[in-house]
Amino acid sequence: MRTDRRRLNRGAAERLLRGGSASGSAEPQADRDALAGLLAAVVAPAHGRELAGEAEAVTAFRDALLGPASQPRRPLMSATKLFVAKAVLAAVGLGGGGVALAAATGHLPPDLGGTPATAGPAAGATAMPSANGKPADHPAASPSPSLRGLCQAYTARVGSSPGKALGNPAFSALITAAGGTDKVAAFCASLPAARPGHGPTSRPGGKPSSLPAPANTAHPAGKPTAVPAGHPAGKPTAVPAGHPAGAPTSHP
Amino acid sequence: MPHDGGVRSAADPGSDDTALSAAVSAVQEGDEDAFRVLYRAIQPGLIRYLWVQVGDAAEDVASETWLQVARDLRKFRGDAVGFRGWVATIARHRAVDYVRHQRRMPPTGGMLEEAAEQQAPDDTAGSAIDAMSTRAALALIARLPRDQGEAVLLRTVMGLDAKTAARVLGKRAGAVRTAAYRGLRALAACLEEAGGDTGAAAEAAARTDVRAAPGPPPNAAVTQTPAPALKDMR
Repeated sequence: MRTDRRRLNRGAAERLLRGGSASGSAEPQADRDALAGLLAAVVAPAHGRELAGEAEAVTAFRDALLGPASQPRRPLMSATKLFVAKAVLAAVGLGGGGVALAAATGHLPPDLGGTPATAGPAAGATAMPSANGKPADHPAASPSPSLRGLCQAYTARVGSSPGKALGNPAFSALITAAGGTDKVAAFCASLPAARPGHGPTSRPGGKPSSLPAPANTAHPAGKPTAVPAGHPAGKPTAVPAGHPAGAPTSHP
Repeated sequence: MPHDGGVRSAADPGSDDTALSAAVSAVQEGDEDAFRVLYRAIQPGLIRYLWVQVGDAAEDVASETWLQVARDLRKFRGDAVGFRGWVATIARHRAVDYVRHQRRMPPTGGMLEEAAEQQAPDDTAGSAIDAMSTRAALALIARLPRDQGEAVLLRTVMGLDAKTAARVLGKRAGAVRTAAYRGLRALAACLEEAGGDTGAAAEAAARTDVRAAPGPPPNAAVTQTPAPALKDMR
C-alpha cells in the first residue's frame, strides 16, 4: 500500500491545496477523494462559535481608529507614553489651543490622533494653564470616547439587568480596560469625561495622581488661559517632570 | 466524510480575492463594514490554523491577533493574499508567544484525543456534523510533523500561495511546497488505512498516539516534537 506511489503526485497535491479537485487524470481516485473530503472539511463554512469574536475585533478596530490612547489592551502603556510625550513637549513650550480642544473633545482627526506624540502636546497644553492650585485634569490619560460610550451602555444596562450587564462580548474591551469585571463600575465612575471638573483622581486607573501641588501653586499664571503658547518655557517642565514616572505603571 | 472532493466552501478565504482586496483598501480608510468582511472571511481559517497550534487557546490567540491587526492596519500595504499572509504572520507570532508562556504552566492535555468526537455546544444540529468533521480533519493534521501541518494549513485554511506561506514561515517556497506535499501524502495514507473516513482516521491516530507517547499537551504543535502517529507515514 505504502509503496503505491500512483496515488498522489505533486501536481495533484498542488491542485488540492489550491482547492481544486485532484481529478483530471486517469489515476485511481479513491484516496484522493478521501483527501479532498478531508480538506473540504478543513475549509468548511464557519461554525457558530468561530465568529464569536467579531464584536470584540470590531471594537478593537474602532478603538484603533481613534488613536493609540484608546487601545484598551494597553491603557497603562498609553498613559505612560502620553505622560512622557507631554513632559517632553511641555518642556519645549509646545502646544496649541486648537489641538488641545480637539483632543479634549475627542475629535482629533485620525492623522493627528494617530500617534501619542501628537496627542501629547494637546494634553500638556490643556493641563498646564490651570494654575489655580488645583492640578488639571488629564485628558491625555482619559479613555477613548468608545470606552465612555461603553460605560454609558454599561450604566444603562446595570439599571435593568445588573447581573448580565457585562455578559455581552461588546463589553470585553471595557472589562479589559477596567482590569476586571468587578472593577468596571469604579472605572466608569472615574472617567474624567463622565464627571468633568474632577482632578487627577479621575484618571482611568483610579489612582490618585501625585502630580505635585507645589509645582502648580508656584505657577506664575494666576488665571487659567486657554492658549499656553506664551507660557514661560521653564515652568511647565516642573509639572510633568515632577510627576512620578512610576505612577501610571503601578496600575493593575 | 460526506464532502465532495474539491468543492470549496464559504470559509475558503481564497474564493474571492478581488472582493477581499477591495475590502483591504476600504478597511484602511476606516470602513468598519469592510473590517467585518475581512474578519468573516479570514477568522474561520485563522482559528482552525491556531487550533492546531495552540489547542483550546485558539480563540484567545485569534482575538489577540485581531487586536494587533486592528492596531497596525495602517502599516499594512498589499492585496488580499498579502493581507492573509500578514494576519497569518501575526497569528503565528502570537501562537509562539502563547506557547512560550504556557511552557511555564502545567500542561492541560487530552484535547486532541477527544477532538474526533468533539462538537461545539452551540452549533445547530445541521452544522454540528460539519463542525465535527472539521475538528476531526484538524485533529488529523495536528498529528503531522509540525512543518508539514503548518504548510498544509497555511495553504488551505489561510488560502496562501506557496510563496506567501513561505514568507510567513521564513522558508523558501520550494520547502513549503515539499512540506505540504508530504503532509498530504501522510494524510492520504492515514485515510486509506481508516477506509477513507476522516473521523475514524483521527480516532485511530489518537489511539496510536496515546500508545506511543502518553499525553502530549494539545498545544504541542508549535514547540514539541511532532506527534508520532503520522510521522513516518510518507
